[in-house]
Amino acid sequence: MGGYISLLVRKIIALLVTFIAAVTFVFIMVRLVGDPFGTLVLEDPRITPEQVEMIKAVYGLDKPLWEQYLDFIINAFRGELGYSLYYQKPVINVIMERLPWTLLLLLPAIIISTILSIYLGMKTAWRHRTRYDTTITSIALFIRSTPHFWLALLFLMFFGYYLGLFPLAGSVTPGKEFPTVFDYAVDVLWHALLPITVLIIREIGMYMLYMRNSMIEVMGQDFVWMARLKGLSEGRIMYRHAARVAILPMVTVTALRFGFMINGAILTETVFSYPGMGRLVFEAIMNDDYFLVQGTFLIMTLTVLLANLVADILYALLDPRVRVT
Amino acid sequence: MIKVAPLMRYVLVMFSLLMIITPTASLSVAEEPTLRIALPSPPQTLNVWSGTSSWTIIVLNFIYEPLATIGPESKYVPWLAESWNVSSDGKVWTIRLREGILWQDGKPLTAEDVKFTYEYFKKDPTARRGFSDMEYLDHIEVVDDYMFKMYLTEPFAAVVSTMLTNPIVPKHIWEPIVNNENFTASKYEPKISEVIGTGPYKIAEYRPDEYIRFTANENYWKGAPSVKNVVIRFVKEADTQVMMIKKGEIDVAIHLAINPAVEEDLKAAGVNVHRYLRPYFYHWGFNLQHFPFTEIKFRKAMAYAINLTEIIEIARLGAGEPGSYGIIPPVWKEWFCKEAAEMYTYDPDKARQLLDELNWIDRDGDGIRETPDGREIKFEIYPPSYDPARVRAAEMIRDYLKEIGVKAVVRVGDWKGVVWPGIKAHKLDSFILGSGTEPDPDFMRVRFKTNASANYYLLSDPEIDRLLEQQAITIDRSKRKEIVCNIERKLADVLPLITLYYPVIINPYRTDRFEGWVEVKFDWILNRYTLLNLRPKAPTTVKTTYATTTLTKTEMGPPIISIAGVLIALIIIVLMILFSLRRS
Repeated sequence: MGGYISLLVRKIIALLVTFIAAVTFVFIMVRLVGDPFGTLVLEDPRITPEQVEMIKAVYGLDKPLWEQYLDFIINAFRGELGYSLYYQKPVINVIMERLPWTLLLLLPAIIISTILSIYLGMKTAWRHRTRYDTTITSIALFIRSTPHFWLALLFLMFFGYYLGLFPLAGSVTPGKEFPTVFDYAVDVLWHALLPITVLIIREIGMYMLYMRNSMIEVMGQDFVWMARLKGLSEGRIMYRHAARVAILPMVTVTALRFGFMINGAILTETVFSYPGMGRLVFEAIMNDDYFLVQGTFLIMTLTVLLANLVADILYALLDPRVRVT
Repeated sequence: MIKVAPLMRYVLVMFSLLMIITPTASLSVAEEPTLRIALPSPPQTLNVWSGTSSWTIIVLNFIYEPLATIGPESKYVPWLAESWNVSSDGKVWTIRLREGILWQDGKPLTAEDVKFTYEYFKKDPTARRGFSDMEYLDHIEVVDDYMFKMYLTEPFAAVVSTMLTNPIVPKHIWEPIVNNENFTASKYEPKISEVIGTGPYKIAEYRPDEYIRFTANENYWKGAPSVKNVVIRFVKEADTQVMMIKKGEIDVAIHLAINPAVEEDLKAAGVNVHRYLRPYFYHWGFNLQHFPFTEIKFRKAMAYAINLTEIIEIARLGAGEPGSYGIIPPVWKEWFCKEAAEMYTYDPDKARQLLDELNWIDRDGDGIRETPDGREIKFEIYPPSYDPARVRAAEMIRDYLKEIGVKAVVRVGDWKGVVWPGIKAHKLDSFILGSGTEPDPDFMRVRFKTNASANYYLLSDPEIDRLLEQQAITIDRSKRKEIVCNIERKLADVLPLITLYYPVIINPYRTDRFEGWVEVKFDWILNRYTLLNLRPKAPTTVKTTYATTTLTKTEMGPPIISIAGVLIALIIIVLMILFSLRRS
């Protein structure tokens, strides 16, 4: 038990240090790369440099860098992320408008693709070098090396444009009135189905191979031979013995994918014109929206680190070897 | 065979599910036809003080209106204003408002609203939509409900184009908000109920990053619009917008990146195309303090050496109009100076002759000219990497110059990391930049005056400075026109830059559901005049129109490459389902 607690304490300290480092890094990076009011003169040549300074002062960007940094850290701990320079409202509101939609796409996509990846990875590894394995693995490799937006565009063109089965854009039919919540849910689902499918296919292409490799590695180990020698059925060895060990690296990978979920899926969201975080983060960077970039990265760092912590704890619970110090 | 059975069942279930779901969407055609528009990005905010992106302005133009606007003939016409007069010293403007205009909440528009709006714009630097326009405003004196006098700090000829084009905001709604001690325009997110203007449409619903829905303002002062419902959707990809308009899911597609090559395809699908000339001058800008651009004869040789028509043909796929050497595009009819525009023509021999006159001759036989003291005639051009047309244009310039013995090196750079910082710091020899023009020539003053913030060329010409100052205070139009033409001629002569093209944007719109579209060359099809004029086309036949659209779509048939692509994707999916269903 003592091992658990000291592990936890160490992990949390590491997490805090990483968090501060990451946030500092983002703070410096946005300021190195761009100047949010730098293109102001390009858009509005009438504006004078003095007027630009006045606007900067409204956001506290006229202060020395260390003061801005202190403000940022202090406000972050108070839960204040500041105002988006582009959208001109609190950063947290901008994020909350888009986060639910991103989660609607990514939660089912990650869950379904994880289950399928584990299953397919396990199966292909078990039938290593058979026709089954080579077919599925080469399909996975093909998907993995296919540009993701191209696949998305293909789906949109075929199912949306030529067959007309799915809408071409958006997350809900614009301006439609829904008599019941159920009708609304169906409409939302109908809009989400294509992007979710594309995401699932992409994710399987990525993560099935992880599982497969992990499984192949495990299959060569002594305890699998041991199980065979005991005369256990193939199914039992595969599910109960080999897969249980092979799944361990997937725990970390999956936890991290949940952590990165906040990041959104920029290409899928863009192709399907879906209101999500991916596009938001991208545009925040393009617009030099300091506070929005800082805010989203702060939340992102936090979720990734937390997911990592959860993964570590889970890992320790599942795998007794980790606790040995 | 046995193994396929569960798969077939699965597919059948999927399809029957789809059949159930699909009709819910096609039934969404409302009784009253809705005008459906696609924009690439949502408005940054609905706050009219501080929203400045072009998409924000398109959206807010449905709701808010200015005192004056640019008419289809590219002249400013009174809008909420009825008339304006200027005192002989050019410092006092007397403006009369139209009577009987109501805000969308039923209160009348008065001179107090205008005074409030302009004075607030002047006060708050984050009220960026109009802040810099109010530079010369001193104060406003309200004479009566419909008349006010505007006092300027100095005479200014471009009052109409800068000040009067700003949206007017209702005082009764905004005064209590603005009086809040902590109020800053760019940190305020108005509630939908606070977004009230005098315009033809009011907001009914807004879903951020998704769509905005308008309903007609039945009390509109020019008469209630015939189109009662408008939906603007935010569709980021130009390709998706093209698919949607071909399919009839939207009536207008607005995107800067629609490929000119799809124009014929769109027309074949029955979609009209408005060719919108975006009044931006995309130019090859010179740094006048970097050799060899220090030499005026050399710059003239550049003008003779490059073929603008060919650059448009190849780099812009024909979607552009050749630049005037006097910068102002021909669409601003009143100020366009033909003489400046035609000062040079493509003539490589003339270019060679000018370089010979400078005694810049290829002395060592390597194909590149040298100055008498042996310096090679060589420089760099920086196009931004995100715009393939500008990269191509730079490469074409390089090839033209090779013909006359000048070495240009194209450096394709990231806009934010390399090109823009380089332009601002005056570090680049030359660059390719797109800059906005305005219907009033005063925009040239802030771009070409010595030390002006947007004078990236380091141009410093006392004569041009004098003329730029003079046009700004010359109220008499014909005199001003003469001065402006002089400026254009002078700029064409000094050549701090060469305007390559004014881009033409493909702006598709459908005419099967609505009629009365007004094409204005220098604006999107969705301009103020279209909004006023548009009406549904025989509303009862909406559904049949849909049917014919579907028919023509099937007749066209998808191109072979995409069929092949989709087939491959389908096979993959089927195989995956098949394998995952198969149990050992």
